[in-house]
Amino acid sequence: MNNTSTLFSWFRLILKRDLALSFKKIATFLIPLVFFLIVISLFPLALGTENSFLSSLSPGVIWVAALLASLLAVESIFNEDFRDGTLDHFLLSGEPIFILVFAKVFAHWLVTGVPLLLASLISTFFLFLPEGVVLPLLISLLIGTLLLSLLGALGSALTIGKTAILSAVIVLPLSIPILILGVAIITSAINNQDYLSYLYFLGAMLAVGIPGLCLATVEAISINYD
Amino acid sequence: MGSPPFFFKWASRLLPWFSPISFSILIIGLIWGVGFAPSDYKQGDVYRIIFVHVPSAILGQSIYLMMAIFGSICLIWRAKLAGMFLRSAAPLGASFTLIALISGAVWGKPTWGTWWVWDARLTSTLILFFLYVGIIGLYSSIDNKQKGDRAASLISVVGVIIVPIIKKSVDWWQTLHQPSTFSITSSPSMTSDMYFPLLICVIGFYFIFVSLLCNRLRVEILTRERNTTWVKEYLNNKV
Amino acid sequence: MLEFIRDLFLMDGQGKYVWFVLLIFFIVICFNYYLPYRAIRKIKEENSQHTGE
Repeated sequence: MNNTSTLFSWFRLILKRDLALSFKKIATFLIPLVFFLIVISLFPLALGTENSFLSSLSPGVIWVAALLASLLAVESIFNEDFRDGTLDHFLLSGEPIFILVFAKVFAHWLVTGVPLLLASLISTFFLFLPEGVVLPLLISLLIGTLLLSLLGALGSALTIGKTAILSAVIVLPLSIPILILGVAIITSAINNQDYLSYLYFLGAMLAVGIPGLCLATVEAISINYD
Repeated sequence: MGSPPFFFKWASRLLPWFSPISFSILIIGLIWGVGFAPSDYKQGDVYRIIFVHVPSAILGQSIYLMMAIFGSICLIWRAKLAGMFLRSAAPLGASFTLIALISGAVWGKPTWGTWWVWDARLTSTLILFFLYVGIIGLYSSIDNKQKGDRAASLISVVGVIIVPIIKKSVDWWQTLHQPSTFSITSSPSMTSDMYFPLLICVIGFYFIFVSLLCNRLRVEILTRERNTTWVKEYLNNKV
Repeated sequence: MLEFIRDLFLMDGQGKYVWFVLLIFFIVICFNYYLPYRAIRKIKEENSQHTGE
């Protein structure tokens, strides 16, 4: 009992620290958000402003922008701690790495994923999405960004100390199912079709992905510190 | 058994026999297929690309599976040789997948009129190619060979679990976006005089892959064990 | 015989596709054979330089 409570206090400690750090530098959670909105507004500029055309493209546009914004911020998950030695300190403390990964992914998601949800609300006006789509859009982004954070953590842990572009090349092909399912959910919702089956599948991926990808990330970190 | 010197000795002894044999199987299969198999009643002679396309696509997929198996061996037992296998197999897998993509494109031009179709199978082959490139990029960016092996093993094991999900989702994407105008799946019914040369080509491709893999492995072993006595002995005796 | 070879090359105008694919295939295979060969030769050369000095 004592053991679990110390683990939980570690989790809270790391989470608090990461959140405090990112609130100190406001850029870490504002920049992915603004990046997302910039990418979204590039599409009307490039493709024209016809309402029906834009709203037919919007699911893809929103998801590609979310994918890029989430991966843009991925470098910060482990690299910063690697550089200033925090990661070494934690590993020396002998606490399970699992709790570190868990806390860091959750913090990353709170700092980049949740602002993306707000930004996606704004993007529904930009891309003329019908109102009924807002709920499936938010739910799919909620699950999808969490999955993207998990995948990004794996890529970041594998490429600690390397460029972010390498981690993007590794992670982007693996994130294709998230993209396809997310677009499928929104498109089905626009066409008044049943989108729940896609949503359940995305949820199932999350249920498998949380333990699976966290374990892989733990392994990736311990490869780096052998 | 799994020790690098032992493997190196056997590979060096077998390769002078194995490479010519695999080359002759491949050449026999290709000559039979390209020169003597009957032409297809629908597509004419252009279908003969199948004798390169299908075996390389099969290899591209099975090499990825093989890498995941080697990768899990490398992660669980920390077997050195498994990591070397993985490292040597990845560029070959990328090569065969690339051949499958190029030959598919060249086949598509005369039969469908375009070089590329966003069909489910083509798309997943393209994604497979990207996965290979990611793995190669990962291990070549890590200086420590052992760490590079294990990182590449990890990503190939994770990848092989995600690949079925990618395939399934690509199928959904297909149904979502377009009623498929071209169906590749309904292949022209093959007669046995087309099927046998294809079978020989597939076998020949596998043999070629094994001999290429052993060649690459020998280099990998030599470079990594450069400072051991057996490598020095080998080099001094041979040169 | 000559007829047969000409047919084999042209294949009713589709020969270019088939032969192009075969060419690409052999280039890739030969490249993959050549790389390890060159690497081993390099290792041996370095070694002989080392012992020679």
